[in-house]
Amino acid sequence: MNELYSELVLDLYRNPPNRGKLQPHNVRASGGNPSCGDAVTFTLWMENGIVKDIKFENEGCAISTAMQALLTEHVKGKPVAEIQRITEQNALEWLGGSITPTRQKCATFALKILQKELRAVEQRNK
Amino acid sequence: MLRNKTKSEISWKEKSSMNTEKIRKEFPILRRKINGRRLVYLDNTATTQKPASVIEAITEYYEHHNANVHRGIYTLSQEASEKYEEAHEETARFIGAQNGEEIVFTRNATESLNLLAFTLGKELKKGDHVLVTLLEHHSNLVPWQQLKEKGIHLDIARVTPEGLLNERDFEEKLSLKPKLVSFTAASNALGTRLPQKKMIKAARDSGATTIVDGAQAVPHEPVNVQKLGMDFMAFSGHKMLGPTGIGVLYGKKERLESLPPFLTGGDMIDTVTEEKSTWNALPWKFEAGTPNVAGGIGLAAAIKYLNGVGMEAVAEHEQKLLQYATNQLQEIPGIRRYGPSPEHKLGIISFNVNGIHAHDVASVLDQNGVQVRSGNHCAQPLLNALGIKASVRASFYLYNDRPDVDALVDGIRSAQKLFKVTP
Ligand SMILES: Cc1ncc(COP(=O)(O)O)c(C=O)c1O
Repeated sequence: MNELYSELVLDLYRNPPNRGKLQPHNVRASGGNPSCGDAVTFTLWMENGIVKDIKFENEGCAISTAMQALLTEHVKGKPVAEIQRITEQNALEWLGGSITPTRQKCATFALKILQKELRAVEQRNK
Repeated sequence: MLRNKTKSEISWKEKSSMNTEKIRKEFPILRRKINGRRLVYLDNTATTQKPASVIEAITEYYEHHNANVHRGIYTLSQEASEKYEEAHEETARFIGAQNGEEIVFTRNATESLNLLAFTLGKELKKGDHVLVTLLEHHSNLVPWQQLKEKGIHLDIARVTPEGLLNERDFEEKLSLKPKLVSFTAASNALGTRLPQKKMIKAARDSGATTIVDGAQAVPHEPVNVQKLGMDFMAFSGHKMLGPTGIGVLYGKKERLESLPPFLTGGDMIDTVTEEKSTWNALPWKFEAGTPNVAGGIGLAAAIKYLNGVGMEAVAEHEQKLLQYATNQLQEIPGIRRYGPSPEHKLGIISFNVNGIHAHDVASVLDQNGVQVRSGNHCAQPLLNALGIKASVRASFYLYNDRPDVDALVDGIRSAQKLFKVTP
């Protein structure tokens, strides 16, 4: 088995679930990791503070793609408060394997982008 | 008989005139293992490894001669000053400058280019043009962009689809009569060589001040600034076997003399009154504060090492390795290479593997001990123009050999296997 690329990562990279643009959507979270050119856009349908559905479009490596796919799986159906509690460490654990320090940013930048947008949505609704 | 003779002639020609095996032994780091494998260092565009002689020169300086320069009349300060000054002379000889007065030590090529943008920028007026090319490293683009605040127009000469300079576009933009023309001698992202001599001549004929970013040229091929005729050139010590933190700004003496200072303070002054100051002689006018003495001495040791091998031999070795690598990569299906053919390039190969992101290729290569760069190589506008987000880049130097290229090829194949993209 490859330490960095678990079967899970490779499978998710080849066949990522929830890839595409959600239509219609009422929240959009977009950003990138400028140091490497990776970029992601999440489109969500939110109702009463719950993520009813979510998809992602991206340009990136296997680690970032696998993480974004897992993230969409994990947050679907969850209330925002629970999503805000996900830590980088949690996310790295979903991936299995051992993500070397230079690649951790690939794995975690999408989580931050999503959490930031959800915070902004909450602020707007206050 | 005749056939035999021809064959041995060919194999003699293929053999590099350099003794790579001996050279490899002189670089202590090449003995170490990466992930249990032989270290294959192929990121020489970013920085280079150091021979024992450079490491020893720095240690020797700190163990025997360390003192501040140009300040004391005692023995140590005199020794340190002499060594530091001699490092300027050594550098001047290496690039064919008149003497050490034309050599300013900075931190790196980036600082040299910023020094120029700041000082030359002061003389520019609203509406003036500055011309660069799309092949620049960010460090020869961003400092000039800053002048836009003053109302200066920044023109960028385009590239051809293969990644060569579009010479017609360069000439057309020269007809806008730029005051400054600053361009890289070779692209760090693709390896493309620019027609330096021709460009300098055309720019000078149109009345422009000429600046060459020599960060990739000086380490890899013979460079003679007086023959080339540029007004200024910037390069970095760490990319030519020297330590980090030491860079060079070459300038024609009369040009450096007429420039205003950049950083001010100690060492760069002649007399200081409460109201004003006058400037020290060249090159010290541009070296404010306590300089990187050990760095300068380390750079001089690196230059001595390169001279011992010979820059012609270095260039020839890298060209042969590039040809070999290009052929080997051609054998692998599913590889897209960027940039022109080897004869127009330095020893740099920029590529992608179909179905695998550049970072993932680099990670699998790392697992095989092969150190390559992946990403945009500090040349985002160039990659954008070529429609690439990121690429893998392997770059060679005098200590790389065919087994290094073979390890690269094996690593790419194992990435294809792991990602199941083998056709
Ligand atoms: C062509 C070119 N110019 C400038 C630089 C900047 O060098 P430094 O980071 O040492 O200032 C580089 C470094 O990669 C380069 O390749």
